[in-house]
Amino acid sequence: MSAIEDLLRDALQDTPTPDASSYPGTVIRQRVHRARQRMAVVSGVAAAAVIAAVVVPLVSLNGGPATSKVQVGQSPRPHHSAAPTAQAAPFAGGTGYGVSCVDLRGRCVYVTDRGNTGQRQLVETNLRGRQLGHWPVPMSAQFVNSRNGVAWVWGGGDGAYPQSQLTFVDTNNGQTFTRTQPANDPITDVALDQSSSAWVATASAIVHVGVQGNALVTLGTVPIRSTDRIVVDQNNGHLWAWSHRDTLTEIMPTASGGARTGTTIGSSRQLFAMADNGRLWVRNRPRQLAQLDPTTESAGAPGPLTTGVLDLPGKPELVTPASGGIYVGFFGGGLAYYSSAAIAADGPPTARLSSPHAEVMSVALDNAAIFSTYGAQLERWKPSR
Amino acid sequence: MTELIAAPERLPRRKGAIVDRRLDDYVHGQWPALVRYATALCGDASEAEEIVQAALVRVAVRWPFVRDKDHPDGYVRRAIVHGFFNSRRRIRGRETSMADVPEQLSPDSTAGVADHVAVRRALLTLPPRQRAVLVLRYLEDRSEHETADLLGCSVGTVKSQTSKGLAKLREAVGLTLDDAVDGGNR
Repeated sequence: MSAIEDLLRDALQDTPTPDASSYPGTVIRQRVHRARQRMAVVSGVAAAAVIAAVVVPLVSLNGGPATSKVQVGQSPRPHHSAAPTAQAAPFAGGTGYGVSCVDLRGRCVYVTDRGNTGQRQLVETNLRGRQLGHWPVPMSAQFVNSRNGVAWVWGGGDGAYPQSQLTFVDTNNGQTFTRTQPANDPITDVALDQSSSAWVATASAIVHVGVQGNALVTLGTVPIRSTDRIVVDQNNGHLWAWSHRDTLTEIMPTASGGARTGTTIGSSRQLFAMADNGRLWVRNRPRQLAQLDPTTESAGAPGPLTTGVLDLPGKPELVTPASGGIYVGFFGGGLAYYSSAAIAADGPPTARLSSPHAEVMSVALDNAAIFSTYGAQLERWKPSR
Repeated sequence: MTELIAAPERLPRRKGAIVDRRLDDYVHGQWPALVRYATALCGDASEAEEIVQAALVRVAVRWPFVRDKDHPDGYVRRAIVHGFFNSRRRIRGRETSMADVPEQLSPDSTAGVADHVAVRRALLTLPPRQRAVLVLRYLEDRSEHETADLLGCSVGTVKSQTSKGLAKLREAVGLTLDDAVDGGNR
C-alpha cells in the first residue's frame, strides 16, 4: 500500500462520528409517512389522468351517445397530512392583545383597545365570548394573567412606553390598582400563585406583589435577575423561573410573603409551562419538547433529567397545557394540539391549524384554545377529536 | 450545576414504525456509522445527516421491493451514495472551491494533523464519484467488487477512479503541504 493510501486511510478515520443518541427516529418516521402520502396522492392523480385520457375517449368511441358511456368513477379522495380539525373562529370582539382564561366559571379576560378613544381596557367575557364587563387599564397594557376573576395586567418597558406598568383588576368588585416600574426595570412575565397574588419577573429581581388596603405592595423580593419565564406548580405552590442566562431556579414562597430559592439547574432549554407531576415543559432541541423532571436533580441523580420527548413539525414558540393534552404554537405560525396519548406516543399531533401566528394563548374551561395573533386578532380554536 | 443531557429518543417499535423492525434495528444500530460515511462523502456533518435521512426515507418507501430484507446495508449505502450524487448535481456551480475552506492549519500543528487536514481538503476537491470510490475503499474497506456493486459501475471503473483519485490527492496534498510549510516559515 502506498503512502498516499495510508495517509488517506488515516485521514478518513478522523471523520467525526455522531452519538447514537442523535438518531432521529421520529423525524424519519414522519418523513416516511409524508412520502407515502405524497405517493398515494400522486398515484390517485395518475389513475384519474389515465381514466380521463384513455378510458373515457375509448368508451365514448365505442358507439352510442358519449354522455351515456362516460363512467369515470369516483375521484381520488383527498389525503390529510394531519387529523381533521375545526378551523379557528374570531372570539369576542375579534381584536385583543393578551388573553387569559384561567377561571372555573368559564370566563376569559383580554386586553383590547377601547374603540377609537386612545385608551385600553380589560374585558371579561363568558365562554361564548359575550362581554360581561370592562375596566380601564393603562395604554401600555398588553398582557394579562388571571385566576377566577382576579387579573394582573402589564406591558410597557419598550420604546413606546419606557416604564412598565402593572395593574391589578378584581372583576368581582371592580377594584383597580396600578404601579409603575422604573424605566430600566421592565416586567418580563407574571405568574399568579394560589392566592392570586402576583410574582412579577423584572430585569432586576422577582417581586411578590399583593393588595393591601387600597394599594399594591411588595410582599417579598427574590434576587434573581433577567428572568424570561416564571411558572407556578399548582401542586405545591412553588415557582420555577428560567433566565436566558441558562439558569432554572425553584422558588419556594414563605409564610411572610417572601421566598427562598431551592433547586437551581443549569439549563439552556427554554422553559414554557408546567407539565404534570411537577415536571416542566422545556425546549430540548429546536424542534423538540421535553418534560424535565427537576426532582432527579434534587436527588442528585447523574442521569438525564428529561423524562419524555415530543418531536414537533416546527419550532415551538408557545406551549399551553390543556385538559388531557397541550397546545403548541409555532414560530412563523400554526398551532397543534397533542392529546396525552399523542404525547405518550411521541406524536404526531392530534390536530393542527396551519395559518394563525399566535402570540399569546390560554385554554378555556371547555378546553378550547383562546389566542391572540401578532396582528392582535383574538381567535378561538377547539380541535375536533 | 448540572448540564442537562437530552434523553435518547425512543425507537419506534410498534407495528408500522418506519417500515419493518429489521430496518428499524439496522438503522438504529448503524446510524452513527451511516452519518460518518456520509460526512466523509460530503464533508459536512449536518448535510450528511440530511443525506442519510433522505436515503432512509427512500429505502423505507421502497421497502416492499427490497429482496434481502435481513441485510439492508447495501440498499441503504447505495441510497446514500446516490443521494450524495444528487446533492452534488443540485449544488453544482454553487459549490465553493476547497482552496478557500475556512479550516486553517495553525503554525504549531503537528505534521500528522496537518497531513490529515490536507488530505481531507484535497478529497473534497475531487469529483463526487472519485470521492465516493475512495471513501468506500479506504474508510469502509470495501473491496473493488463491493464498491462497484454499490456505485452501480464496473470493477474497471472503480480501479481507474481509484487510481485517478489517488493521483490527484498525491498532487494536491504535496502542494498543500508545501504551502503550509512555506506559510509557517514566513
